[in-house]
Amino acid sequence: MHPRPLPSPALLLLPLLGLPALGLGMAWADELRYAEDQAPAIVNPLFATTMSEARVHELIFEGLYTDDKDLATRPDLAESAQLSEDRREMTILLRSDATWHDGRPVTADDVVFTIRAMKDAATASTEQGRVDWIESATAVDPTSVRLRFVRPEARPEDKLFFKILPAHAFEGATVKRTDPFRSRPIGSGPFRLESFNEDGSIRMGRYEEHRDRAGLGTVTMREVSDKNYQAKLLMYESLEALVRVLPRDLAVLQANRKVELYPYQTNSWWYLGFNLERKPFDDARVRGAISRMIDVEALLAPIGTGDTLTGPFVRSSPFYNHKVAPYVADEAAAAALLQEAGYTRSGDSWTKGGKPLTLRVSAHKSLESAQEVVINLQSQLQGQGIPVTVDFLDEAAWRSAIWRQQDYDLILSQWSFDRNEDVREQFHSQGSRNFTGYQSAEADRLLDLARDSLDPQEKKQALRDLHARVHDDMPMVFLWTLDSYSAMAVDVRNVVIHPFYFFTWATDWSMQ
Amino acid sequence: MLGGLLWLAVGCGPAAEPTVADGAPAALDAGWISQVVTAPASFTALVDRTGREGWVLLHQGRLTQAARAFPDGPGRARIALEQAWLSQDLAWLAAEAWPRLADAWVARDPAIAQGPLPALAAASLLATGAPVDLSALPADDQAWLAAIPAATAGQAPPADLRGPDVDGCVAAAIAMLGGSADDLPPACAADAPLRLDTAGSFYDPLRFAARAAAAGRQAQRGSGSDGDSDPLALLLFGPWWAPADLDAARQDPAGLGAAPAMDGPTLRALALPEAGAEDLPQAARERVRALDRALDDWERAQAQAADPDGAALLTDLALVPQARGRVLLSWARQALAQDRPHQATAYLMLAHDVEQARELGPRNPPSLFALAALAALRTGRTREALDHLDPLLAEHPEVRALAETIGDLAVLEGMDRQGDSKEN
Repeated sequence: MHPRPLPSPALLLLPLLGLPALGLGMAWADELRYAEDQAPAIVNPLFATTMSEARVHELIFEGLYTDDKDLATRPDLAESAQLSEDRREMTILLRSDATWHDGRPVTADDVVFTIRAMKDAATASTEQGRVDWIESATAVDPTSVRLRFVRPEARPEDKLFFKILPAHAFEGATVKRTDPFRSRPIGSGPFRLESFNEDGSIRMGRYEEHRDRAGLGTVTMREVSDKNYQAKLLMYESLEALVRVLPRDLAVLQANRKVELYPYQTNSWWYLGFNLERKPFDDARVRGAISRMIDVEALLAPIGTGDTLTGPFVRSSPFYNHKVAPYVADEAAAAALLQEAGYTRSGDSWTKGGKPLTLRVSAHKSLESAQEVVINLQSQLQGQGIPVTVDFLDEAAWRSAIWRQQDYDLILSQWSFDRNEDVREQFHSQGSRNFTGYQSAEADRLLDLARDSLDPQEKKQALRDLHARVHDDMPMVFLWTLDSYSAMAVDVRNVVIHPFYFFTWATDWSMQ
Repeated sequence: MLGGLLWLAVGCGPAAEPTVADGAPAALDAGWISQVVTAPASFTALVDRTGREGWVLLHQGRLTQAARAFPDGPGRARIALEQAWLSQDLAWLAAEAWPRLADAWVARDPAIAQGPLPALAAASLLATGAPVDLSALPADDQAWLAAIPAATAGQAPPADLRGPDVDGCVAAAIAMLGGSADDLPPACAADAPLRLDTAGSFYDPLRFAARAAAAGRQAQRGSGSDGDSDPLALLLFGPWWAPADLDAARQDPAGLGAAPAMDGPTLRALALPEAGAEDLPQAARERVRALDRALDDWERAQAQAADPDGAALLTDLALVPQARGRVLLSWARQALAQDRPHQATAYLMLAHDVEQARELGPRNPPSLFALAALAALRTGRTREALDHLDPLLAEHPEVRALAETIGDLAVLEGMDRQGDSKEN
């Protein structure tokens, strides 16, 4: 392996550009360095909540099945499978050449352990919803596992993409988020974690014993929280890949003959989520008033190009309800709603029972352009009588305040979906990602119908109706979807990006 | 309309002699871009004579509006050609989507085979000239389906032909295919499903093939005296680099209405690497890089040699990037025809102007999105195909029908999958 030095002109220019110290300098000849806005706090697929975690997991871990390059399901840790006649049971034979990064074989016990741990309420896995259709998992022998399903399944392999963990790396049947595994993970994937560094970078080396030896020797994830630097680092060859390009950098990167752009993660949308379990945001009139105080187009304009939305799907989705009209900024209508809810305008603020209506907006520090959006939002709302305080939370604070304690008034965030655009976890009353506290019997009914229907047009209509329902109920103000691209140095060869997980076919990638 | 303003500002000074730039491939110099850059007066004369607004709209990829702006003449014929190519690309897309929808739906619910879906899927294929075995279909369906191959061969269907729908829209589309009509009746609205006697909401699968046939005929009728007298009217912003490429295309028995392929003498003279028979995107990317090296050098030489008016046209209208895009589009079309959809995807990604990703424009002609949708379908990215169709909807509302069909397919294909979602 030979070091690949930076070109000297770039080295000279970097300080002039004010680039931060990022361990720039030498890269190995077969090393791919990519930038994330925020490094994963832990590496454990059972607790994945962010896209940056999902991408790292894709390199280190494997599921029973995965996507081939035509997005058809193909066995990964599975070798073959048999489905019972009643479609309630599936016996999976594991491949014999799969090993963990510590050299031990992948066994049926690992599969059983993973499923049971995900289902275990004490684990509190954020991925629990991905196994709730599995009634039980049993090891038949070291290489065979039998799964029993809650109801008949037509193609269960299509749901068996979740990552498998090594049972021997844990004590007991419950997995804890704080388990030391989080920083010393053992996977079976084509790359193994070499170092989890204090600067936020993660270095992953090729797992030489993997059956499908990777063309890249090392993949290094670098945290570059200031997105304004990412494009410069790519152009000055201090990175080989950007996961998501800032919209304003697209033109300059497209004009650069050393860089290629790839559409990526297009099913993503931004939203402002209310805490429906906190007064006064449990009152639809208050939410409606705030919705009508927000000029969404004006918030979007400074940060990039994209489409504004009226519901929880992007405009090209088969589930998007084009008949739903957007809320338009209308100060008079907002005032009328607040008055109906018992508020009176006194001076610069709205009050009820002597208490002013205020709002605390929370956003994740790593969300690109969040500061710009939140400051503009603050200005819009304060101008209409609602004082706004702002919190930018790091990963740990976000998980604690938003996911666990639901301690917020309004959050600015973004959801990304794979091609199924399954919003059940966000809007069903039992959904594991429903931290707005949205409860609607009609939404639950529509989501159940969408899940259970075998008629695609019925499913499509059910989710279009859901779109209309959540638009009316307003657990969120739906904002926009941005044009989303990844950028890759042309030196990286044979690149095909998975539309959601990014690195699924990274074993084929190599450096020129 | 920036382009239009810029054109208006361009002076009509004396035409300069074409200049062969140092080191530039001579083959490229014979193209329409050189003519525009070195003799801007000839360009200005053409657009003034035939309708400036229409050319501006064509440059922007807005074919429906351009067709309205060109009531007749060479501009109208040229738009008809572009419409024929786009409709043909969309007909191929329909012929990919419908049979897959029928297969996937019948596999999940065999009862659907008793409805109109299998016959509509067969119709989409027949309209593109693909052979289809009709023997498993009901006799009633066989009767109207049999009229489609005859119509694509130019035979008018019998006047009493009855399709599967109440309003006769399918029969009207077959009549359009056969040349006995140039448009559909008003009852067959662009984005309305067929009125059927059975359950399910389905759209006319023949619409785009019928439109391709009608537009092709219109182009043929219109490419008379004016069009032939000024080859620039056929070349400007189009898929052929030079008159020699246009002449080569005219030798094609399918005629100019057939989707153009950029494999004429100009590009052959550049001796670019082939993309190979395997569907490897990397080979496609290398081929584009070789093209870019040739075009970048050549564009610089053109800019240096041009007078101010010519240089302004070159940059303001993005003539080289626009023509590069047309080359890549042609390569993508070829790759799709030769079952190399991953390579087609690479060509189309490299052609796409991501700065205005969801808009039609000089570098984002409508066929770019239609072909990207087809390549997405062929590579299993059914949901992504809908992303590609979205930018077409404002200018071509009839595409909504195809998007609904592909949406049904995307839903069916994802029915057994476990959805995943993450923050940020």
